[in-house]
Amino acid sequence: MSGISDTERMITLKTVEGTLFDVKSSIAKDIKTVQAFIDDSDDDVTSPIPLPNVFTRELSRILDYLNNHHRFRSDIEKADEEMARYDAEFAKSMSHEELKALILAANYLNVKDLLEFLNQTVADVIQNKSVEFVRNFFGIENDYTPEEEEKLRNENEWAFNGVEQD
Amino acid sequence: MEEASASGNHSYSGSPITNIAQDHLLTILLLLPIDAIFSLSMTCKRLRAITSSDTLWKYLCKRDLGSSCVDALINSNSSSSSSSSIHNNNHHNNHHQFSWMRLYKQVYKMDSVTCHRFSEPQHGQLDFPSARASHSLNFVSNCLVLFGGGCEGGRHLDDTWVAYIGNDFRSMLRWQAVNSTSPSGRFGHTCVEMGDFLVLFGGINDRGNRQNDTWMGQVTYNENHSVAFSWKMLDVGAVAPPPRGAHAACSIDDKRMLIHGGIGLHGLRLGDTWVLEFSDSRCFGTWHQIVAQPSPAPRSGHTLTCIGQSRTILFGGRGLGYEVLGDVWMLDTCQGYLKWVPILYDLQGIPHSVSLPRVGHTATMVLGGRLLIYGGEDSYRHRKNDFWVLDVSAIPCTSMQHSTMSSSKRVKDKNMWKRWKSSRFDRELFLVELVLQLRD
Repeated sequence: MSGISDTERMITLKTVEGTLFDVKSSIAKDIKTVQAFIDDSDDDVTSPIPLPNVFTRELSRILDYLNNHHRFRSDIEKADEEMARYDAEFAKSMSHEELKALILAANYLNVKDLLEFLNQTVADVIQNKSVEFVRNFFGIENDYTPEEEEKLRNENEWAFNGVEQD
Repeated sequence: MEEASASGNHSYSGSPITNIAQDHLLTILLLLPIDAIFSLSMTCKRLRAITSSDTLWKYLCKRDLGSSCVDALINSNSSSSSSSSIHNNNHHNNHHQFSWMRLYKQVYKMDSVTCHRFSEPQHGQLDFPSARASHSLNFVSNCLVLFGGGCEGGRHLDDTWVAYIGNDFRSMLRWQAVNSTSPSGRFGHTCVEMGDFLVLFGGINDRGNRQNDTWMGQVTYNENHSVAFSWKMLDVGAVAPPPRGAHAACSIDDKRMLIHGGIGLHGLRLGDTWVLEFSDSRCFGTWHQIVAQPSPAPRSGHTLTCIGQSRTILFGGRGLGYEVLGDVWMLDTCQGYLKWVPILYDLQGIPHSVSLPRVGHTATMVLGGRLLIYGGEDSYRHRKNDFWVLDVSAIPCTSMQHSTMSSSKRVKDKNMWKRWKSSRFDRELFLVELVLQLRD
């Protein structure tokens, strides 16, 4: 690491539970909600920035992700390959519940790259899955009557060619 | 921000993710194949409303049918005085209302072609191309360009013909012979469209000599709107693929030309892959060979077709043992790495009596991410007169997860191959039209 990072300004974030995280300002730049807070403040932000919608578990994962991606980007040679491998591991390590919680947190914090990656992860999870699986995944209440559902299924039948139901 | 606080969910277990903003949901939807979108629409009424939005389907049409097709449709509808304009969502006659979902569905379910006779010698007409085979025929700068081939008796031809088409696909072609320097007489060459240019490579003459020269051709319009065409040999420096004919070629995203295989010296079938790159001015070209393992077996009379996003599909041909092939390969040239991937498929649902392997066919990318394959010859030397569609959207994308990429791709979709109905179609020149009904 270069010498700049030693003297780099640190920003403190506070989760719902009250856990404090120290974050380099270069990392905080990727968290648009935090950056907007900093930009709106007249003078240097010294006290912890409260994040009333973000839990410790999610924030720690998000910071992990951002720190690692920053590290990969410093080595252009291997960046793409390592990032792809890290992302694949990251996606695999999450349960569906964690994935959903992370999306809400990343959405609130407005972390663009991570959000794109999580969107793709969700898309990968729900592809080729039955309606019931998708309902469970999103926690959706079925508000169709069985007749309505049957009618829709018939209407949409043309699109279901090679789907493996599970 | 708002929706997160409005939902007031402080425990994430069971918090419906559908509380996230609608445009965020749309971004996820755009990453999904349509069957998954319909799965979502069947979960609840709110998601059905979201997944039925015309905006979403317009984006899906752009994604899967290509933005040029969508733009052309918007332009053709807004320029016409038709009362059922695409933009008019409040049209009182629902029966005739245009919807992007309906368009998508029509393209998806498309299953037939019609053929119109397009060129016919008028009685006593002298300026008409003679009958030929193994020639090249390309559509470039609104013109059809015909070059060379072999005529009755096996003699090679060296004539170039141009016919202006423009937007009028209904009237008969008026062929016009081109008087300019041209490549020497040959057949079994390849000629591909690259933007406003044609690029021709190789071929065989009637003395059995194989060529490896590269030519550029261009249509020019004179002041009196008459059409002219000129050929120019391309300077490619010292390195060029070995001479050959009956090879396959295509242009990759209008920037590079790819060739594979063919019949080389002493009648030997080749299995090498070469790429031609152009200088910015297009005055010079550089050939280089792609060496990859695995790669398609040596063959001739096969096809290469670019399916977009730097991906190319190879199909069929005749192999070293004179056998007719039916294998499909994909070359992905995006992100700097070049790799041939065999595409494995099941022929479930296709009767055993129907043979798909073929040589000397054509393969053209058509609307809806599909490869339209016509004709050729099967292993019994029977001439085929059938249309097949290879659904390339069923092929998994390799570039997404290239770190975990396996050496082959198995397509699970049982409908990767479909046979299309067609009207009569034989040896003459026909215009093939996809049958698509947009309104009732």
